Amino acid sequence: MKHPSTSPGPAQPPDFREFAASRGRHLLRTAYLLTGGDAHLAEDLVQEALGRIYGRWRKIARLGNPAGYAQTVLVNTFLSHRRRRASSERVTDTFDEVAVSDPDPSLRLTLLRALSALPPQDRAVLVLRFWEDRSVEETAAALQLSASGVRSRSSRALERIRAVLGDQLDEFVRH
Amino acid sequence: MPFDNAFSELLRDAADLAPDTPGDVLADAGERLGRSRVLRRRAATAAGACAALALAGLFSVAIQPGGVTAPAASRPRTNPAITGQFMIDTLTSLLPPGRIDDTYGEGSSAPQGGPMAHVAYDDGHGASAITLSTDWVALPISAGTQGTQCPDPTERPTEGCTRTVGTDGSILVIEKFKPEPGGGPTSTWTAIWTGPDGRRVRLDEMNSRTAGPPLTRAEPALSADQLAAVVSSPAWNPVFEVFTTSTNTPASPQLPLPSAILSTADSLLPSGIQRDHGSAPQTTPGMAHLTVTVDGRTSLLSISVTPHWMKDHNPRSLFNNLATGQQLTHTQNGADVITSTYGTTKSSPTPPVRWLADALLPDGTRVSISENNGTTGYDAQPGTPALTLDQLTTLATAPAWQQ
Repeated sequence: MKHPSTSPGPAQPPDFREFAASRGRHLLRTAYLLTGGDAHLAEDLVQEALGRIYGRWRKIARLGNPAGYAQTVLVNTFLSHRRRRASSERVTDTFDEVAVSDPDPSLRLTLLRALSALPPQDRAVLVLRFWEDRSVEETAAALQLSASGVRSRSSRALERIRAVLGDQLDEFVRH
Repeated sequence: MPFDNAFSELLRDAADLAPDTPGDVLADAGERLGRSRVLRRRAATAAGACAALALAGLFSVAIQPGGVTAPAASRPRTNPAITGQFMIDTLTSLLPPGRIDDTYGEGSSAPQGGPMAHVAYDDGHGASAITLSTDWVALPISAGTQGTQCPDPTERPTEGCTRTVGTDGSILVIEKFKPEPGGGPTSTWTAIWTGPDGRRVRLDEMNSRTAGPPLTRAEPALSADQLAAVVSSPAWNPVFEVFTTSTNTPASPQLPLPSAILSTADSLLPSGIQRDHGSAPQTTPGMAHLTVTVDGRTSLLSISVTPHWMKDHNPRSLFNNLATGQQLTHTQNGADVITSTYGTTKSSPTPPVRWLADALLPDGTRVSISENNGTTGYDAQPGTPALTLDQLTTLATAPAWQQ
């Protein structure tokens, strides 16, 4: 299904399809973490983000780091979506203790549930910092937050993750 | 394994559970959706909002199991009056005469995203990327409500900021940010208008067309007065009649004011240490900063104080968990304290440029004191800091922070 690239050589920026096909799966994995493991929503978000990028591709392709730009578009697409959803859902800022006694033995499933219990912007901070390995300053720029805001959100969110994972995490850390 | 690394590894494990949709399929779907957006935009320009709504239904796509793309029903649209084109047109009508292109807008009924508009505006002296967005902030509006105070220049390079309170209680903040060290070259000017009922209109403009290099002009196009006129215009009222989402939580009333934190810090620092609170007013509850100078070495201390930290959730155990891989000490007066150092980035821990003492006091107050060399928080440099980590620890664990 892959269309031939219109790029004459490696020095040229990639065309949209080439870029989207090569980065799409990574974007999908990022979206999967952002959504706390909602596969269908993750696909919707990637589709929407790529659609946004398509319209501006000629400019984006000339940027030094179109992949990083695409990740930022995806995160902002996610946050926009959550804002839209917030009128019918209440994003809780209280601590979620339900998963502490969750019988599911899979640590990564528990982690996804813990992520989904976080406020969306906190989730975005964790994903950019610890999945995308961006610095505090880069994360702040992507989310239009202050560096101290990123630090405090990151710290708060990690504390909640720790609390939810409990002993399972300690076990994991020891290995 | 330190917790940060363990968490990164766990995320990678969890990401492996993501669906295995082929990249080509995602590219196909993105391209189709992108084409439909372009067509929608052109249709809206040519024939008005009605044409845009019809095309939107025609071109929505969804990925079916198995990776086949197929048309999907468009989501219900709540109010056709607030379209992306309405946002673009309204923004354009409020700008001085000039050339407009690269337009993009989202209305209240877009599948995703809030009402916003983006244009490239050229007054004849170079294009500026301009983005206008709308939002609601939670009531009551207080000193801790984000966007209602001038930003702290120790956190981000700032050229200037004005804050104006209107007779109706609205707050207008106009911020002029300079490029950050190590960041992009663009300057961003931002105007944030917050109404007494929580409605917010924000405009960001840059001295480039694409929010990145190349720069198109020395400064963004709109002056502070022009920014103020756009964001405070009643032309945005229809947006808030149909867009009622609030995503923000009110600021916590429990947090101590910066002045109280600085007063306590002053009383705890040894008398021989020179200190400076800076000239800019500090307004964020629960946080404060000051510079200290010892033997010619000047460092910034950033202090965060949170009374009753996580009081309903076994704070002592949570705090001790934070210490994985770091130094945790129990002091004689009953405080727990974690000390650590950080490099410029997460992957470059050395040389250290930030020193941290993080304490949980016997009454449950959490005090975090971060130190970096220099006088700002965004350009930390290696070297010997003014205060040692032991001194930071003594400061953070002092009983005087307890309320």
